[in-house]
Amino acid sequence: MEQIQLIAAAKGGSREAFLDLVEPLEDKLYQTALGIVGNRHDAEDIWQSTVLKAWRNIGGLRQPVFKTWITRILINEAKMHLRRLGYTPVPQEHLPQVGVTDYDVTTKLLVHSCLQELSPDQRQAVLLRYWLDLPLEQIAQAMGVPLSTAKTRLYSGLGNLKHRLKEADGL
Amino acid sequence: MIDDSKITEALGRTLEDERPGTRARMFLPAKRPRGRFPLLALVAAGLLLLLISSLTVPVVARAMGEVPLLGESYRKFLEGTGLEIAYKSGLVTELNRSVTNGEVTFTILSAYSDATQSLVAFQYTSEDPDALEALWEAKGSALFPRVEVSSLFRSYDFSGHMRYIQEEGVIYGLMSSNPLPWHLFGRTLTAEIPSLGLSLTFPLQTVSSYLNDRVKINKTIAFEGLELAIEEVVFSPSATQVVYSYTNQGRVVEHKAWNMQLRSPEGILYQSLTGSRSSRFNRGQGVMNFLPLDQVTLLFTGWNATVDVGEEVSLQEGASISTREGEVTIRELGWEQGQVSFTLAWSGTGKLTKAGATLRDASGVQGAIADAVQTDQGLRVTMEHSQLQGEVTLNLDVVEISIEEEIEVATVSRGK
Repeated sequence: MEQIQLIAAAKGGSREAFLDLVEPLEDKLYQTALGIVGNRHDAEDIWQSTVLKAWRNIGGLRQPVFKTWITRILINEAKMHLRRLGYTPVPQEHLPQVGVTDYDVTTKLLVHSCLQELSPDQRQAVLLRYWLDLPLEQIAQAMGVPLSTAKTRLYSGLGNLKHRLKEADGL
Repeated sequence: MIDDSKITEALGRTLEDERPGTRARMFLPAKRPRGRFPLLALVAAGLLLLLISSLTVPVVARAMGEVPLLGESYRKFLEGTGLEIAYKSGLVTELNRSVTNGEVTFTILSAYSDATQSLVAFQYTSEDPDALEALWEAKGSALFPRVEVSSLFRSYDFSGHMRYIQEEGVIYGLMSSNPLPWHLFGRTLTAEIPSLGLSLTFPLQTVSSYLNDRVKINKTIAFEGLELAIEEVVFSPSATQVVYSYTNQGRVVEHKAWNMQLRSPEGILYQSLTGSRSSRFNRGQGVMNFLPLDQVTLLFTGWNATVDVGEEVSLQEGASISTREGEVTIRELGWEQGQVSFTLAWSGTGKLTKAGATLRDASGVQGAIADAVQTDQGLRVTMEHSQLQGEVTLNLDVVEISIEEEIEVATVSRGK
């Protein structure tokens, strides 16, 4: 079923149609939340509240692109979460230590560390562009800012991230 | 110069293995609410729907994600536990992590944690059913795993029970502890069975805090020298938990326990899953777990005390035994063929609700309690005997005293 039909069915109350819209994005949305807040517990909370809010409010969806719309909800949830906690960079010793054997854990920690050193706005813009693969116009919609602001956040975030990765060596 | 493709690759290294702990399909409510609806109420409504359906309509429960079919015996083993509720709510992920010592395989089936408790289900199996039976008989409680968790302020001990299902050749076990503190990146535990030289590490899955709710109560009731402070009620997917502390203002009575019930809006009374509570110390604190509910009225329902007596008295009308709490007197004595009935009247505070006693004559012939019923005069006891002769002695081992009271503490709802 095409996305437009799924959206129409979900608006009509079809749980399965809504899940057909959400499930292909599940992992990426969660990973984006994790990239923004830096820990799995908060990312799990943000991910779940995003889905529940999206389900509650899908009747008001006007945009043709579901991914951008739900990403906007995720960004707002993450922002509220960070605001509630007070923004605190994740200390390096608390970086994810999943038992992944295929990757260099040091590099994983390094990238995470560099990402967390960006401001929340820059971090969100970078994740939406390079992880969720959203074009600039949709990044601006998701973040609820003008296109020019989204560009500024993305390019400055990108510049900072590249600088940090280069400084840290190996990338 | 780092190009843009490297950024995606770099992000992938830190993110692409990550997966949400709970899939949308598991927690999304069945129906989309119309208009504004508090988030917690939405989740609670979904869970309540699942809970009511699963408890009253087994067919519906099967469709919504029942306890996995490891066997009917596993489902029955979990019946009435918080883990069964969590399974039916689709909140439990099967782990099935195993370790073998050659003869027997120890498996952690699932590990679940929410704001009220942490629950770990496990099993022992063997290719040789006789070996498993022999192991059960030889080792018994030594098969219960040790899981120790220490934090800065307290330690958490897992306790529980096991059952050997002979016809299926499996030993099931369920252990629980107080809820483990939130850990930044989830928690990994280790179960050790020293008697078998086995050790197994497993992850503990913690449900999202959105599925839990804490409601502060901070009310104190005073009853018969007991000052009981109800601090809060914690609503979780697997239980409704009452958190309390107490102080004994008066003399501490050995084996004294107080009780609390929850009343639903429909008027149904729920007993604690964890029994009545001892107040044997001068002060203490703890929790009481009930089935998960969304709105409850907390009722303090009095206390009972077990009084050790250990005294003998001639079985005669008016004979009495003194205890620290009061006097027990024999009244309304009546002899029949093969049995004798009498009323134990109580002079102290409360009512006599149970008694442990035996009868004996000079030749050592004994009789035992067949029935005991509360009446307005006391505890009406019927004892069966075989040809007691001559002077008969009543040996009163223990009595239970109860003071029943219904004090409404508070009415609380999830989300408020």
